[in-house]
Amino acid sequence: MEGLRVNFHTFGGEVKALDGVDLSLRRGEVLGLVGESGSGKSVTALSIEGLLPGNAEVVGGRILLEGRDLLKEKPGQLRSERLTKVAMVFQDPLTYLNPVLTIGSQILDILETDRRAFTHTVATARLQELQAAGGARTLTEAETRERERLQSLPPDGVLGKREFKRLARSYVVATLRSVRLPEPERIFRMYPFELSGGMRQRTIIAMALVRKPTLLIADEITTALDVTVQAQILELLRELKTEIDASILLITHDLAVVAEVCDRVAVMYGGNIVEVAEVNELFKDPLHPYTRGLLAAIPRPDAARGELTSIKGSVPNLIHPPSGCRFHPRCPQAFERCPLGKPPPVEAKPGHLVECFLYGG
Amino acid sequence: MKLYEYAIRRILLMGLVLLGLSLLMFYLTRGFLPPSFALAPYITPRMNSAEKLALAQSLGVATQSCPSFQAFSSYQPSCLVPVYEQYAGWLGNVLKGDWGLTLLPGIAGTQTTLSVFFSRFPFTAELAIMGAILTILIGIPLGIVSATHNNKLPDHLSRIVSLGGYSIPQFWFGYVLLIIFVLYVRVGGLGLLPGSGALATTCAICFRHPGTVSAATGAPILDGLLAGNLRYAWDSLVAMILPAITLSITSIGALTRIVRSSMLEVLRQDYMLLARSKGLTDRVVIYRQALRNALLPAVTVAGLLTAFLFGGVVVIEIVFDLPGVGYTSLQAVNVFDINFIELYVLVTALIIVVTNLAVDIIYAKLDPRIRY
Repeated sequence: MEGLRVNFHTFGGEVKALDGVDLSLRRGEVLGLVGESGSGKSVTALSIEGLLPGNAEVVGGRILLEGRDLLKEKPGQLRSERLTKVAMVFQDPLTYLNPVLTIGSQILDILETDRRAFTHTVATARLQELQAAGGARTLTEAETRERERLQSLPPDGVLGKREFKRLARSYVVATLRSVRLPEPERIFRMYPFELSGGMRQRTIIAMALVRKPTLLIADEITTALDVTVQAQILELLRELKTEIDASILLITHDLAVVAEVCDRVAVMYGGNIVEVAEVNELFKDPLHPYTRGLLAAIPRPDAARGELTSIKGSVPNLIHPPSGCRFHPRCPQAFERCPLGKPPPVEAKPGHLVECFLYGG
Repeated sequence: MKLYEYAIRRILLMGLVLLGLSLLMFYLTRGFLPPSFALAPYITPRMNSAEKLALAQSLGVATQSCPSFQAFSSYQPSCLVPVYEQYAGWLGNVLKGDWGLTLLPGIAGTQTTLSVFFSRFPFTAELAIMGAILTILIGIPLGIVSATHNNKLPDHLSRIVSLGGYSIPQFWFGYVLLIIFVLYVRVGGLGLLPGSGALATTCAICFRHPGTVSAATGAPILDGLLAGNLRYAWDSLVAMILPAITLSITSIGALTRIVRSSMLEVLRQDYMLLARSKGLTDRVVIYRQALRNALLPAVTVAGLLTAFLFGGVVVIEIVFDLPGVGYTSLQAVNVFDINFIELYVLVTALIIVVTNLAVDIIYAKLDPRIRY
């Protein structure tokens, strides 16, 4: 993602929500995107998906996925990228599930949208299942014939509608099982309101996983859950990280979550990425004053009693953002240069980028 | 509780509602009109007083101890049967299927209320069903288009149609349609569509082949189909177009508006964002994910609209001079045909309570969260 700029047209004026966001994600990596509310984390995610609300406008930049610019794609193409490549997991698992459709049909919808694209996935899953069954017992004649037929399926072959549906069902059930849901066959037939918050979040994750995406965007997936369920979901995410071959963009305002699962962290403030570093590096040696403030604001049970540390001031008004570095009005180390221009990214250490004049630029 | 248990309980309650309504209606008609009104359909000019008294006694409106018809018609207390006793007798007859004779002009005293009603009711039912079909076929798609093209041209057009339709008085709209399609738009010297009367022949493109069809049911389109006379069925359909449009214009407006607003509401929901982020096509997102949620309020309104359609039929049948039960009910009110009014009110009430039950059942089918 290079120099992404997004504006929102509102009655109050233009909200410059993203002001030149640069972000890169390597294959198989988990990148944490942290920042307080209103810093532009979700807008970043939605622009990758091409699902910004109607009053938003991308005014500049590129979003490259495997070399193709998503911003230049036609709506239909972008939709099929969403279908097969970029999956998103959302915040609140109750409001994001359709209340009147069963869990199973909501996941099946995805697969049935493009039979051609998912035939391979579904057939492979069935073959693996038969393989596993074959290890435990001898396959029936019908199963053997099915295996032969699936194995002889050409790489660009498409399954018939009914067979696809049958295999897709068992694949969806297997996926529900893979996100550690108990009794997946039963959950397949249940409605969202019959599940607990953690279970709903798992089904939403399953919705993303059935597509075998190359990029998984997880937007505040633990925020709406209570702490024990949060821990379970994070545990699941960590396990899945090793099982699936996807890059994960984990959006959160919770630094503890970042420390748990991420490889690298990007810190956002007021529509800018202010610092990017390996997760250990960032926690050990934060460079940007905002990052330092964030880390200092984490309450510690061992610290002396007293007031909680906070960053003074509040998130800037993005209709009239502060000139230069958007953090300077709140920055304890601001100096005369800060309001004058936007600081360029500086590689302060190898792999550790920071946008702050304290480190040159 | 299972859905069918709920349905059974509701059906039993329905019986109670109808019983209560019949009691209320009986008091309103028989309790406030002079008792001699009940005799009207049966009296012939050549009857003498003794015969009239015997008639009043046999109908259960005069006591057996009443000395003379004179005493009965001057309301002597010893002659009058209390209304609740009359009701008991009436209810017994009605449950046996005896609704008495009719007082309608032309056929007074010669036909039973039941036979008149059910020879004309199918026509009205056909008209109302056509109105309902038009309402659903036009209202729901128009509402969806309006919501998915929010604040664009299709939305503006649909809002003009729906608000206009909702506001236009039906009788006025019916006359305007008649003027346009029967007087002004003319083909071969005749109006494009038939004007007054379902069987009018003053029309260029319709009723060229009226043929003869045995009125098996009384519903012209259905009769044509049953008799295998497709031309007749088609002609009847054409003849029904203007009345059906007039009848449904208000309900189309109401349904469009409710579908539009509930669809807009649903499209704003988080799960629509998820549905789109799943990469589903717009068609699947709107018709599979959104429509079912958006139809919930529409189903409730559609139930109310059914009642509205059956009420509106009265006006439509008068404007278009159609031989249905709505027009007949107006005649019945004009001549104080108590028997007919009672039957009309109770059948209409039955239709409404059945519709309400259907709405509740459909609601439960659409929304799995509903439990009874």
